[in-house]
Amino acid sequence: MKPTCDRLWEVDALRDGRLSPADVDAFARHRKACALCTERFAADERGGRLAQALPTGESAVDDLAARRLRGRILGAAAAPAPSAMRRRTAAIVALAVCLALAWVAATALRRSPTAPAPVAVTPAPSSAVALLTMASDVVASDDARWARHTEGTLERVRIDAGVVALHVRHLTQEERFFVDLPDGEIEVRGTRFEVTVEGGATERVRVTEGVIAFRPVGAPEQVLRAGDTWARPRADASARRGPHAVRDVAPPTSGAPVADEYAEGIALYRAHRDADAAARFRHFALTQPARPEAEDALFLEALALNRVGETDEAARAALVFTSLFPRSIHTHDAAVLAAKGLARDHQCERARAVLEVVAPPVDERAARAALGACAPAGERLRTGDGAP
Amino acid sequence: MSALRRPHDPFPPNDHALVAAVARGDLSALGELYDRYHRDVRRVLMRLGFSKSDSDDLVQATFLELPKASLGYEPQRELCRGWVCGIAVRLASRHRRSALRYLRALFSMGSQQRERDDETPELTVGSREEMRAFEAAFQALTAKKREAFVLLELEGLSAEEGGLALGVPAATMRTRLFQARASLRDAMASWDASDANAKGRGR
Repeated sequence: MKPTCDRLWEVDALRDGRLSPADVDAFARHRKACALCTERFAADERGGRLAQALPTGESAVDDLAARRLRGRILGAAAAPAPSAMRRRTAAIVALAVCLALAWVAATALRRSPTAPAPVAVTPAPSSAVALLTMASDVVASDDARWARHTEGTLERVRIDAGVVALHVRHLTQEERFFVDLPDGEIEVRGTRFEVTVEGGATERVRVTEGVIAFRPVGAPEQVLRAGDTWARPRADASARRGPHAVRDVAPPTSGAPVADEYAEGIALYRAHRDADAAARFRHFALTQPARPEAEDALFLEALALNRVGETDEAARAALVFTSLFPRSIHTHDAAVLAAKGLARDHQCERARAVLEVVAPPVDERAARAALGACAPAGERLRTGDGAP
Repeated sequence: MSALRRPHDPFPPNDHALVAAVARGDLSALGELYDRYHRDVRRVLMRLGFSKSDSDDLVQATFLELPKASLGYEPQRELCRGWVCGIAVRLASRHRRSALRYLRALFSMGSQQRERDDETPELTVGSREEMRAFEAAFQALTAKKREAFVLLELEGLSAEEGGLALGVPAATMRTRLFQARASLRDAMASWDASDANAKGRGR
């Protein structure tokens, strides 16, 4: 019969901190005489020590990556939530797609047990940031129509219309990633790029990191590297070269091509085409969050929206900016803009709170002007200097 | 009192105030909670066996879940770190259960090696073998036992806190931890025996 000890339970209780100090001492004395309890205690100590050495990923996360993720979370949290009706519709559509896929998969398996069956199609959200679920991180324009499709280790993104920026993480040898276009295909292995589709044809492919292989229908494969942009030829050129003709890869233009969109935004802003400028700045900031200009772009988006009269949207953008960049040189102005919007919306507590975090502090007059009716009467405002 | 962080504030808002502010839709408070706990969440997820990229997704999903979850937060009973980690563990559990993930895992089984980015060069060959044996035993635990082990043994939550975080009684958490330890002890004892045999044959 296997030897046992009726105080073995105290090993667990000791590790869990459930013994009183007196019991801890008593059990320590018991362990000296009990080989079973000593062995159990040593085995659990060893398990704990080895478990502490399991990978934690802490060394793999740098501050920049953590900050980017923070920005993505706050950006997504700031986006308006879909209505209950839209959520219900989306759930019904998703359920229908799952049932249809299950039926297709079952049929395919019955017909050919070795044939790979499609396992999932992820219906794409209509706009904004699609959360990371697969190999790719996708940001799409509001009017974009796209969908994601997965078959085992193969992922495909189909783009029917709009501007879609993709960041594909570095893939393992077994994984493959394709973009299906109305008139071609792109294959990728770990890169960042942007695709524009209009009127059922690819208008532009721009690569900002890594390499992609672009295969237009009826034309040879083209390899595009970081900085390269391919654009569909104009009508006269295409008439000369056939309906699917493509021009050669455009050489990188002067300066950093990724900053072009920012420069375009600035030009539009100077020309007082504020709605276009805001859209351009927003797209740039979403697709190039690591660029130093992204900070200015987000702030300028708020200013442009404000100039065009979209004051609520401007306040929302400004609020996002203060959250993402609490120490920026623009934070002061963004906070005033955000406070105005919140005060207009009668969210007085939040409006005052936004002004409290700003450094250097907003002066009393400016703060009162921003808060309007939300400014407390008869007492000094608390602003970023910390002094009432 | 505002839950927002103020520059150089020697008395930053406590966790409960931050969660209350998140429930009111305060993005700054959400950012502050992220700053405080994103490393804990990632560590828990990695210890549960998720890859780096899956952990990234789940960290993001966890903090996006906070505004909704904060409406049911009970400051008198819950520890914020345990609460946030509990949300992450529950999302991770849902993530693991999804048929898609399961099928993907089946397709890729045997072809992926988990990232060992923090394996230290000081590990000797012998201890590396021991570590591998332990990791295999740890991954062989059921998800529920592994969750209990990670939250209680490694993250230092009490059974009550862990139970609140996962929505199960404290006694259940203790039982799962007890069983997890027993499984790990047995696995390591088997490994010790086979290792001793191998060394004996080598002599």
